[in-house]
Amino acid sequence: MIIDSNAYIGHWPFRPLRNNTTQGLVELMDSKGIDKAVVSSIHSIFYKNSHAGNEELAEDVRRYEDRLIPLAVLNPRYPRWEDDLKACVEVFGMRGLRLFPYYHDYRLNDPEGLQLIEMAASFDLPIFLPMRVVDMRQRHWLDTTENLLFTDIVKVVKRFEDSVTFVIQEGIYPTGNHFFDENTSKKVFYEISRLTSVYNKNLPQLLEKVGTKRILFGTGIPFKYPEPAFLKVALLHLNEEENAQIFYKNIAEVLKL
Amino acid sequence: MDRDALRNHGYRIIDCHNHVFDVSGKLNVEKYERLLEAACVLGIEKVCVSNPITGGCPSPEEFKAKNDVVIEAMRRDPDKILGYAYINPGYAKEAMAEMEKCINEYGMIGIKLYNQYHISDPAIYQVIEKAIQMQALILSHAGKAMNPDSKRQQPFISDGTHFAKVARVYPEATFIQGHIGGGGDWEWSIKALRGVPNVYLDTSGSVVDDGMIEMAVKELGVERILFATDMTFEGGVGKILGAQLTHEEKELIFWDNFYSLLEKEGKR
Repeated sequence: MIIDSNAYIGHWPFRPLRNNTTQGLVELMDSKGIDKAVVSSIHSIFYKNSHAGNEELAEDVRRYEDRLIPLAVLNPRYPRWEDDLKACVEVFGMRGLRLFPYYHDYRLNDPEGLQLIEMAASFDLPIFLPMRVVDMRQRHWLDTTENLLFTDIVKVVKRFEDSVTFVIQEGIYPTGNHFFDENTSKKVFYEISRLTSVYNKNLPQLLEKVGTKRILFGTGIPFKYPEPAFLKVALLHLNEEENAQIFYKNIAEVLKL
Repeated sequence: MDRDALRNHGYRIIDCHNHVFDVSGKLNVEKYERLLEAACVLGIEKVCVSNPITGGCPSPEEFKAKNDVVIEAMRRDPDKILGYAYINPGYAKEAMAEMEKCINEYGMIGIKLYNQYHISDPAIYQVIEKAIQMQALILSHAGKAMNPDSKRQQPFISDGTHFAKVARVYPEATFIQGHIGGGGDWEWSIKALRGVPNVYLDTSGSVVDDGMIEMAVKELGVERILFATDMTFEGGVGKILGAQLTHEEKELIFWDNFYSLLEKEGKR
């Protein structure tokens, strides 16, 4: 079983993507041996009213509910997001929330950000935090100039202690940071798409700090080729149980599958 | 996906863009051994390395010292390591003397330019003419930087338009534009290289965007695409394995294209 914790559906405004419909993504997953993928709407990043993207996604994934696990995307600076979050959970059955503060013009630690996290906590929703969507060096001239800072993540992780599960994605996590020695919440999970098993070896270093139970397989499809992520795990030379944790058991625990 | 098949891909591979580093003026052996280990586990037979200075305007003494470290690596593993001589073309006389030394005496395959000048700047024409005379490959750091920090930090980084311009001035030179996955606007640089057959494009860099390799092949022809990692090993190999290309096209990228260039330049 393989669950990709880092996938998307929809059009990216700044370059064409392949396999970015539900059908296309599932076909890609079939060709790569990925059983399920955790997806959110790219449109929700760019629509003023993010929830319209959630509604589209909920409709789109209905045909593939055994393959695609939808996450909500919300902007806590937009009116009535509270209603939208409730609808995502209670009507659409979404199992998590993916946040893009650098596109929605707030910081995680702003009152709006904290309020959103608090409400997600009341629904027991895990919060997915992509540190970026694309490499800043190749940004479109209209695209954001910010990424999510690890220091911002550390602040909310500390604030919510062990009450909220956070999934950090698309990051190169500073394992030398004291965060990893003293204060790492056991409810923080790390996705691997930007880490390396050889040469820089930041994935083995992270494993040493947090163990295999908090590492999640993720590819970044349809933005990225999935093969590098598979290679990284293969080169760790883990045993069967450890591979199972990274490939599906950990994300299944996060999403209560 | 057969994960063992990914690791045991069966291709012959030359990495045409990678690096060694120095510590206290000597080869950084710890990093070097990690480089060899990474190459080994990913089935990369040969690695072409340089040791550039990535900022400022290095003096001849400084760039010569960097190349001595490359020579040290070449001596350690002559079957695995090929070298490029890093030079600052602003010191043309000393740079050309260093090219003579590194290529003629020590068997390096070409030169490595960094971001001290746009590659199309006439200030470096003397060095390019020397490379043509010596049949040396010209690999250059590159990128179409789109973020304010990179633009500020690297005002003279070359993108595809700079390579196309100089390639038309010197059609007999062999240029390699570095790391199309190095973080800049890769669509920009690929399109800019249309119609300049003496510029090759290396695939290295940390960016593994889906469709990047296929676009490069479609726009430039598979013969102009050269495999490299620039230290991103799983990403480097993975994006070629994952690209929607034929087995034969992947063989060309992984090995044949660069090997042919080395043969053509008499550097095999």
